[in-house]
Amino acid sequence: MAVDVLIPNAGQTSGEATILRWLKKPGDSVKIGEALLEVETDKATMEVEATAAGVLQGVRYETGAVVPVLTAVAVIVEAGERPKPPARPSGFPFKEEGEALSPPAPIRHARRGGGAQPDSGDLLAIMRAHRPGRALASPLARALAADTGLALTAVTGSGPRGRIMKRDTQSEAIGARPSQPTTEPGSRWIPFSATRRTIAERMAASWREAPQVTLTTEADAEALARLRAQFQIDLPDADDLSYTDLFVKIAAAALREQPQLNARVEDGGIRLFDAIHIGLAVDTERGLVVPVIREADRKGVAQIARERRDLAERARGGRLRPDELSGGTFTLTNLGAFEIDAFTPIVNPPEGAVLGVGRIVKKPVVRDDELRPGMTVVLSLTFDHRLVDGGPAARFLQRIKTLVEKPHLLIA
Amino acid sequence: MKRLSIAEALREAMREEMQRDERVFLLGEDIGIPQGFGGAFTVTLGLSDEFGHERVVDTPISEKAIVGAAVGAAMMGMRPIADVQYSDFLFCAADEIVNQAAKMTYMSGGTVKVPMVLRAPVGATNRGAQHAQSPEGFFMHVPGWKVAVPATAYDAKGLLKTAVRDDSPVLIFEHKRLYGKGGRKEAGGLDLTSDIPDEEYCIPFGQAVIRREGSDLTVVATLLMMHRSLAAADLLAQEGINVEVIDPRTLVPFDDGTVLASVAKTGKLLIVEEDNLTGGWGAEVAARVADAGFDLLDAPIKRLASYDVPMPFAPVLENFVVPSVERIVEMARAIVKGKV
Repeated sequence: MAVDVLIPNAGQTSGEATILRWLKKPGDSVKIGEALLEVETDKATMEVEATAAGVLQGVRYETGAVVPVLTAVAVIVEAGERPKPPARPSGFPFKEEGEALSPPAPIRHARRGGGAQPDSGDLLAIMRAHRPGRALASPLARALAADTGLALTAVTGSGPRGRIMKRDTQSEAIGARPSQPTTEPGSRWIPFSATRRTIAERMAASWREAPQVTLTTEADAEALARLRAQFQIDLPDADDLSYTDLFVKIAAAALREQPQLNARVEDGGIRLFDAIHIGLAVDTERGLVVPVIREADRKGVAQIARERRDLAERARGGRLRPDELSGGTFTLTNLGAFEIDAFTPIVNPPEGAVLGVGRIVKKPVVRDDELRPGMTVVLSLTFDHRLVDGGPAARFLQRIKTLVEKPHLLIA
Repeated sequence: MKRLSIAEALREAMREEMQRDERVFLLGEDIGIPQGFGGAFTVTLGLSDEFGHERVVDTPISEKAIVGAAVGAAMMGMRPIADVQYSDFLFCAADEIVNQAAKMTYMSGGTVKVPMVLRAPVGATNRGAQHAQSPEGFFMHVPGWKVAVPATAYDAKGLLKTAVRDDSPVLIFEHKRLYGKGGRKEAGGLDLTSDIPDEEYCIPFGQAVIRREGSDLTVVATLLMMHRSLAAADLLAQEGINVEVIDPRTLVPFDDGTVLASVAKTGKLLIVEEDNLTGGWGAEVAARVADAGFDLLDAPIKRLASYDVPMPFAPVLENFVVPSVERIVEMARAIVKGKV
């Protein structure tokens, strides 16, 4: 009965061992417990001992070979027993009992197959020898990694033999492994909620995929403040008409004039959208949600205000429909209520740009060479640099600034 | 040492086995009649003169009778080698092949053996839909049969001798275009003879041959398609694509290991078969590699086969339906270049 000589699994993290040297030669008699070869793992150097008495045969890996753990590197057969054929072809010519070694057949006869089923470790060893650096990943995981720009070499596979699977690309994307939290004294670990997970994945994807640049400018907000106050007086049901509603209208109008940022990167190209759908970042107890105001450029501020009020209320109640949360072509985020002046918003994928609005605040301003009290707002535009360069993005933000300062141009 | 064609090598194998073992006998249509051809393809030519009509038995035109008699004789301890002229006619004896020969050993708890050999020529050769099939896949599906597919004279002799000595029923599929000495355009102009050693040899079942080594793509093909794959590999080599061509030699047992080890190296697999695509042996091989070699693959496993139609009689259409060297080249190139 032949017994395999296996590379032991000694807890090495790499799952592989390097054969340093063979201490026994093929044909040598060996006793149980005798050292057969020396291997080196990433943890230690160790000897592999015989687990059976007999004769060493079928040595399949030379000194220096890197083999996965639990690979059979040789067999121990009983004295007088024929070794089993090696589980993979071992070169030409290949001689075996039962077939006299013939001169080469006229048809090319490069090499004879072994006829035995190699184990998966053997196959992976062959693969690594011929295709070094190839990650072990499922086709789906490869596609997902390619989509998100994830380097497979940076991912640890959780599948059989370390195969990277879909779940591994996702946990890599969110930088955590919910299945295996480590315990740490003085801290507690909370699994992602569904909303948190979505946010984490989308933000990470945005950060990875889109080279983002943020431009900031300060606009005079006095005209806008006056306009808002006037609307509140003149429009019925508009007593809560907010700056956000005005910025939605302004952003939509600017996009209509300069549509380059009403777009996304898609399949190695740019998809430009005809319709302008503005997503509104809404802070809720569950986390950030971004309901969408559709065709915002074709709506008046009163209607925008009504829709914004309805969407925001239902967002806080968690009652938005999925279609109300998708399809945005540009996002607006307003942190003015929290006394934030300027910030660097992150593009909401797959969109191409986001406008961040700071607080509208009374400040000393210089007008007509005179220092006087005024109102200003800082505007922060983050855009995907793959879509446009700094020039067009700057012109877009400049146009928004103009519309903020001269909102009558909206009806020009 | 001598150079023999497949037909001659098969004849020599039968002669040696008949000399060695008096239980071995041949039966089939027109295999031993005086002034005959030695069966449809000259394989048994001269053997009735040598061994007499008791051991080279001419039968009526009834495959059911031929196979039925062979099954019965084998069950009673003889070692018949039966010949059906065209593999298409195996279906006439489906009950004997599938329900009787394949099952007897198992149904009798191993007390009854059916050590018969059934020889069946395959391949499209301008003879129309009923004389053109390559039904190896059908019989690979039936547990109990072993299936050999020799593409060279050397293999034909060694595999037939092993088949005679095997206690299981063995089907040997021989390709009509490969019987001769070769050089014909239809066979790709290849020399189809092999050096046959003077000393006796048998070839164990289940051991593939790597006909050509390569690093870019593994091609598994049998019979005529193996030769066309080699021709395609020559052309592809001119554009820097190195194809490894594997000839399984037997479909049952199948040498999964050699194919998997090759795919481990190349990451890409093309299976070429002359049978039509759906449900052929290539589908089984593809499934096995997808299973055991999932992590080795860098591209989808592709199969090239005849289209799913009865073989047309018109030569132009037949040539269109059966995979050509050009189709193999195109598919191999597409796989290697990542276009599929």
